[in-house]
Amino acid sequence: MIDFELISFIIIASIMIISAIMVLRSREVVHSAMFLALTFVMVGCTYILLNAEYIALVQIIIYAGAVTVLMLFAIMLTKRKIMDHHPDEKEVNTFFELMASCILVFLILISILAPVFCPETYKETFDRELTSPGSTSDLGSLIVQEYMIPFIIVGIFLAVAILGGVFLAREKEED
Amino acid sequence: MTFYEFIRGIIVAILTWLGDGVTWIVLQINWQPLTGFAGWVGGIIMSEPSINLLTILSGIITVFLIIFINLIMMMWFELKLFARFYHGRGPTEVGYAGLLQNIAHGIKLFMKELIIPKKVDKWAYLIAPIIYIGTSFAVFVAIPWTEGFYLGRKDLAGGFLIVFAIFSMAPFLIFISGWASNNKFSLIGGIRSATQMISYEIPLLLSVVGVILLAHSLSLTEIVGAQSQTLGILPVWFLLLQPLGALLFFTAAVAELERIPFDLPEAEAELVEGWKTEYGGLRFGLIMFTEWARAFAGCSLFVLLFLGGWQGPLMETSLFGMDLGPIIGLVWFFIKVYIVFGVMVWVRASFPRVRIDQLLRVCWNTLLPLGLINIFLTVMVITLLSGFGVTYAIGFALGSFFLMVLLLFVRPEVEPLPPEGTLTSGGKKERTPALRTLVLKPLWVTMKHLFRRPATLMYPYETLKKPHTTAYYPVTKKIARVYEDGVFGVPDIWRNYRGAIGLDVDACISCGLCGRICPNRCITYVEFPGRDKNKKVPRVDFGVCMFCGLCAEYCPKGCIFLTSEYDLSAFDRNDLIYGPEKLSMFRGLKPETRFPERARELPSWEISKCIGCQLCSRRCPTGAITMIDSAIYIEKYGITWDETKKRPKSLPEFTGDKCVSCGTCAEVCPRRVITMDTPDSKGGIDK
Repeated sequence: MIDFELISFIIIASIMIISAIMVLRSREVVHSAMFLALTFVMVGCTYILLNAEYIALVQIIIYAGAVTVLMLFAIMLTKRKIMDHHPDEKEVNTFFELMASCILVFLILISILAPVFCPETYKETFDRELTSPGSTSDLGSLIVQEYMIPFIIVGIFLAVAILGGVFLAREKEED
Repeated sequence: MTFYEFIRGIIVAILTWLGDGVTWIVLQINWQPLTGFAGWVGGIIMSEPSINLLTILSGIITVFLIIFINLIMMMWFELKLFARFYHGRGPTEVGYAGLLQNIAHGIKLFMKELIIPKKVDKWAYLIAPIIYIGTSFAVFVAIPWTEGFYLGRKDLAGGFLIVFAIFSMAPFLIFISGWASNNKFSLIGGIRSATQMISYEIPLLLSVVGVILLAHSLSLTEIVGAQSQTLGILPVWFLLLQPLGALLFFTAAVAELERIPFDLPEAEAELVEGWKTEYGGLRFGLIMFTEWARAFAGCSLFVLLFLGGWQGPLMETSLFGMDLGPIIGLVWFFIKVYIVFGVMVWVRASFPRVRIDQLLRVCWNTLLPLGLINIFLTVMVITLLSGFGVTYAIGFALGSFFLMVLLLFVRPEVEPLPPEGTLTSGGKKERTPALRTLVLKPLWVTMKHLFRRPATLMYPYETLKKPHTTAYYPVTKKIARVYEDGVFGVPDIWRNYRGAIGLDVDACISCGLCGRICPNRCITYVEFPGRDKNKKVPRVDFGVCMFCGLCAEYCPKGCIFLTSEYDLSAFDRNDLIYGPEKLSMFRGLKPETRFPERARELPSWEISKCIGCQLCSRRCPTGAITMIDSAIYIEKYGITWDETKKRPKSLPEFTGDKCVSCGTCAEVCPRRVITMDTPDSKGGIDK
């Protein structure tokens, strides 16, 4: 019997990785943004495979729908002309490139191997059983019951951030 | 039985039937390798995944076909309704009541060449609209149309969020295609679109939170199920429980669908066609088609969230033991969708396009706070009613109060930034839009106009003539409906109008004056059966005629007259040449009054030149010229004839009272003896 879930995961993951590489490799910044959106959508699909429907949808709404548009706005507002190519842009230093990659690989390895080497720490996380895994109502009750305090703190932080943003974006009144 | 099971049953039945046939054939052939191969293929096809795949594919194709037909109907509905708001008729010609108009548009777009402009970013230019169209149609996966209408095996738990997630992909793609077109209009359109859609997504989501709280679910099926209670006969739809939410959702949805008054991204007066400018042919057609698909999705969402979905009377009907509920539900659903869409068209007909700053101000300063207030009110009422305890209620009340205060604090000053030199009423703050004058009044005016009679005249079939009878219309060979006088507020139009000319053949004396006077030379002469060969009668080419009416003014017998008939459209130019028979058909329209008598020109003779050819006498239509013997003539008029010239046998005598001033004599005279003299001259022999 063919494992359809595995096949779809392989397809999704390969698209995700290829597009993530293309984000870096594209010469056109807007193309990078497009690949980034594709990566976000594929991350959302991975969440669906993990039965986390709500997170997947929110991922698509917020990251693919909104964050990439914000990035595009940033690109459009900083570039002088549309389709303005800079063929003689300086390449990134190879040394720093290698360093960054090594650090990244190290971090990924840590996060993958940590549960393998010290399973006791993660036991609780893996053993938790939800009534219906990944369901939105479970998520909601977790947030407002178990993690109430962190949720409120995050909310207050966000409110403060919005206030700060409004304050910064506001035009200065002329005296 | 769900839609999935229904389709699956059909698929299984077809496959079994085919399989039986193939098995029978294979057994007849009875060749071992073939039997093995057939068994292997049959096993794969009849396996569970393959049947699932086939079911889903056929379900998608079925739904897509229904959507396709429905979208064409919706476009037609919009054209018709929109026309009625402006006293028009909309499409009428193609198909019954213009139903096939959009198919004609589609075929026309299909014929066009697909052009890729030279300097576009080809890759993004091509792929962005494809994803836009694809994602927009993917929305229908999550929208149930009736009971058990799931494309998958079960209900989608996050139905509303799926729709929303798919919708939220659009601004990015529009932005990308606007940028990739490498055209400033496209780019501005794309930026506007992205700004608008991203802003309006927030009130759109917030307005639905109340509904989700009431229904305790994100699934659209369960939201519809939560609206099944009734209060007497009145169904308790969420429109009643969430009126503010419904209003906000509708407004935000109109903005999200980029329809007038929020169609800034394709403001054709400023931006050509917005982000679609560089797309042509079928690409453009598909993009426009997608806009209607999105409108359909938006309307369906409104129906599902606020109008009780497919619920309505007669849902428990069954016929011969078959449950008709889903089918009747489908009918109710589509009726409701069309009503909501009609309101959208109504809004479109009522309001002008808003400015971008007004648009964003409405979103952030009005819709967003209202949405939050709606959520707080809903939460408070739910907590108070469901007995969570007073503590919770007080907590919620305090929290909402705090947040509302916060909102008022955050809310920036409603002060537009007028560029220098623009009109501001004495430096005062811009007044906030009055609800009554800016929203309700336009809606009321357009609604009044909806019920008026269409002002458009169906040109070849209807006329605007005085006698309100039916009349045979000679061009199209149809009976024309003739409207009453004064219906359209121009009562005397037919009286003062110089329409087509008509002809009274019996009264015509073939003088040829009309043809001579005609400034456009549209009158020629033809023989008429039952008349002398020389007595030709006029024929008019209305393709040239400018309805000046000179022929009617000059006609000495009044046999050419002006009618009120001016709609002479025909499908062929040859049909516009009216022979005497056709012209005579206007005889019923002959006006009673005639033009006043004109000052007449009369012929005068320089008789010494005359050679006695008798042409004038013969050709005179009224017999005003008679030939008499020259000797008598000379004696009678006392002329001294130059005897060096040969004296003709007879000379023309003119009797003034018969003359109609047609000028035929002057025209035919070979020696220019006769000339038409100034008006009011007595005529006769020039001494």
